[in-house]
Amino acid sequence: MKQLTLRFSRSLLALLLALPMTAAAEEPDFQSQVKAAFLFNFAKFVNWPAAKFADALAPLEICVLESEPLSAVLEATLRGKSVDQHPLAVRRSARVEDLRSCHLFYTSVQDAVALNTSFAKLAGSAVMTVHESAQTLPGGVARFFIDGRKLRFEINGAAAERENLQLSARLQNVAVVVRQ
Amino acid sequence: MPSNARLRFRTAPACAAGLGLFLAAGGAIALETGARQMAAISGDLTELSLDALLDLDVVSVSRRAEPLAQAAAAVFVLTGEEIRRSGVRSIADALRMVPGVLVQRTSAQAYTVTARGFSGDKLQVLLDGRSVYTPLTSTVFWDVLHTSDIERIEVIRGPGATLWGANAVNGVINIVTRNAQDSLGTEVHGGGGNAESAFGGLRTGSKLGETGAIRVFVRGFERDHTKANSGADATDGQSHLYAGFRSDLKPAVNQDLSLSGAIYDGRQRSSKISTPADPNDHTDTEVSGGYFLSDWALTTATGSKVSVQASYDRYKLFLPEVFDEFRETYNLEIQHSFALGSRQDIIYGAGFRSTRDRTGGPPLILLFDPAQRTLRTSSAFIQDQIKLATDGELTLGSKFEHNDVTGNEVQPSIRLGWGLGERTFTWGSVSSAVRTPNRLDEDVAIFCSAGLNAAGVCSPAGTTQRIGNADLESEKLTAYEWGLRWRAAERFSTDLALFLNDYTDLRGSETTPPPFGRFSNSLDGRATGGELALVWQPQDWVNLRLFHAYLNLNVKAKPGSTDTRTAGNIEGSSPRQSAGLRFALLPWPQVSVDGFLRHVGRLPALAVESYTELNLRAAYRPWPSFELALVGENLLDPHHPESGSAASASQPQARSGNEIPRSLFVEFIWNW
Repeated sequence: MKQLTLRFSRSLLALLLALPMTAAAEEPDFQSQVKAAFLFNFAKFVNWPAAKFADALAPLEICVLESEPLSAVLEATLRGKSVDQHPLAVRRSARVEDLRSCHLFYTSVQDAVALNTSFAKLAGSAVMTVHESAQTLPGGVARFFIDGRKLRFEINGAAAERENLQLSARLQNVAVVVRQ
Repeated sequence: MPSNARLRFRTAPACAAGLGLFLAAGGAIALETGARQMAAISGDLTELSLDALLDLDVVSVSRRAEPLAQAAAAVFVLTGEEIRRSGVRSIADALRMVPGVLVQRTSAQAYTVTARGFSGDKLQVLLDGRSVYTPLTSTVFWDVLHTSDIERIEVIRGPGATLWGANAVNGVINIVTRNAQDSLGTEVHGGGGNAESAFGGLRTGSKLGETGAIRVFVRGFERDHTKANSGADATDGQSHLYAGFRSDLKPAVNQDLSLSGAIYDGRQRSSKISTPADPNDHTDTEVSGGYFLSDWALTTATGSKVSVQASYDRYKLFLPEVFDEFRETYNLEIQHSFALGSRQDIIYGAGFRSTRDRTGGPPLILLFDPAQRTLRTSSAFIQDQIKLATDGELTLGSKFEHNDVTGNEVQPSIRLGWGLGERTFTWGSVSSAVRTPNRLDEDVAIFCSAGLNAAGVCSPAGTTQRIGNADLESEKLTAYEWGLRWRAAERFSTDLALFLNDYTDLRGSETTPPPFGRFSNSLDGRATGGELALVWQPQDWVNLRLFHAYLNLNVKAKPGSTDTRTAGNIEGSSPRQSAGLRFALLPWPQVSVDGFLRHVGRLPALAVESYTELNLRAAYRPWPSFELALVGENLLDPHHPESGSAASASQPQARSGNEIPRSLFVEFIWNW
């Protein structure tokens, strides 16, 4: 046992020395990774109107604001992935109105007034809007919230219908469904 | 392969090959995942189903983000994507990527899979919660498990007996297939090469009503013979056909019902005992069977969950001249989990299992006495997870089991997990587990046929000589484990697990009565060791994983025992050192390159020298729906042994046993 402990402490030490000294770098927190994985699943389980895709191989665009903290994790997570032959692409813009051609729009902005303004600029263009503010908003199709220690999401059925988005039963089964 | 069974058959190679196949073969228990966080340890979260994502803890008790996996056990997860990108054609080959797991391919179709030493009969292996090891030998028919539509494989090294029950002594392997909702559409795959002669499969998934989905699939493969030491073909080529379905339904908003089933049929060529040297005069070993599994779960408004799992499994195994078996197993498991106050999560359950077999008699040479037997097991378990003041969690639990073989067994465990800041998590545990004697241990006998008699294996001809011992006790383990997970940097994390396992009443074999002796609980043993795993992602498109496992086995015959060989055989059948390096590269969106370099230390009892092998896979995806890949396996040698035995005491250099050839093949996957 002594020999074993020694052997392992040696390999651990070797490991420590070999470590790149980047420990100070900010690590992507686990919650962000889970959110990105949820957005991937939204892309998978939402049917957009056919007109949203130029052709069968056109990219499925997931869009965020230029300042969005999640964008790096999102890009890393979705890189190289596709849904129904549509490669996933992350697009960033400072202006919401440039994002009307997007399929999914995510924002971590908390201010309800700012959110309502953004959603109004996207209204009528079949964008699945996702936010995480404290309350359900009429323009937001999906909303993340924390329940205990888990991340959950809410679907605003009325908003989805207004945007002509078909949400699969798979998604609705696990969501909290509201109408506003 | 249990070493006791191996040692006596060197003079009858075909018989030994038959036994090897038989012992490496395999053939139901529910699981409430006690380690929900396991999926988060490695890999890509997009691989997880919606349900699994919803089940992840993203906020710790102190409501901080939780970057570290907090399972107080040595757990490792292989995702479906990792398995696909590794190119392996068998689940057993995929398990080579798990630190501390040893995979030995013994023929075209047979594998021995072990964790932390010993033979392959101390693992619990589950497919969607249904136990798939055969009660005959406690080993697994690995060729019946396919790599398609796997969501992930969770591996726990060390005892998991409290939740998973008997046989979860050295580890638990839980294979989880994808929800039918996640496999809609049609997928065709196929390919072939020199060793993997041909393989292919078709799966189609569709919605079932408003909320349900179903997939049906058929898969088949043909594998070429492995090699003999001389480089000539061994006689063990194999073909296999498998068809099945999985359906996931939502009978009500808070209920889930999953139904699945499959049938399979496989054949393996083997040489005849009567003419072992003549490759043209061969026979076919047959294994066929099927199962049906129903899994129902209800989640109440308060978050408590009730689940009921029922399954039926049957198979038939026939080795001409050697062995014949038909087996049917019924299993029922009920579980309930709920939160008690704000700090405790309680899960408890009960199960019942009945397995009935019918084995063949003379002139087959491998017999069981009695020829037919039904074994019943009833069990109950309870586990309490208690959140401690700061960042700790204490898990207490025990399994209580009653079986027809050894009576009552109690398997308690205590685990403590502790977060040390945001980057470090440490855990420790003390647990006990038992391996109850299987049908082989208790009842196996050899019919001394005229042929065996003439070969000098036994005498007189026409007698049945028992090796099994109906008075065997369970093998018992007390395990002490300690582990540390440390995310040293954003892209660098480590996972260390150390263990000390004390075994008593290990199965050995007394030398009397001659010539085969009799199984007995003749050994005690201790295993110490550990596994270190590192994950480093230097660039977005580069992922590196390294592991090293160390094992020190000490097995001793008890005072007064005549067993002078088994201890050495056990010690010499597991490597002291093993290591692996995996890389996964995504240089361009359409191209992926994956490699796996592994090293396994020498196995003196099996006449296997230490070896290093390399697998490579390069894939090109011209369209998102189509992938073409070139795969090379075991590239560093024309053929190499992973198991076997020295040919004879006078010529220890010459060895017998099948050797695994270098393999090259192309594969395609097309879905729409």
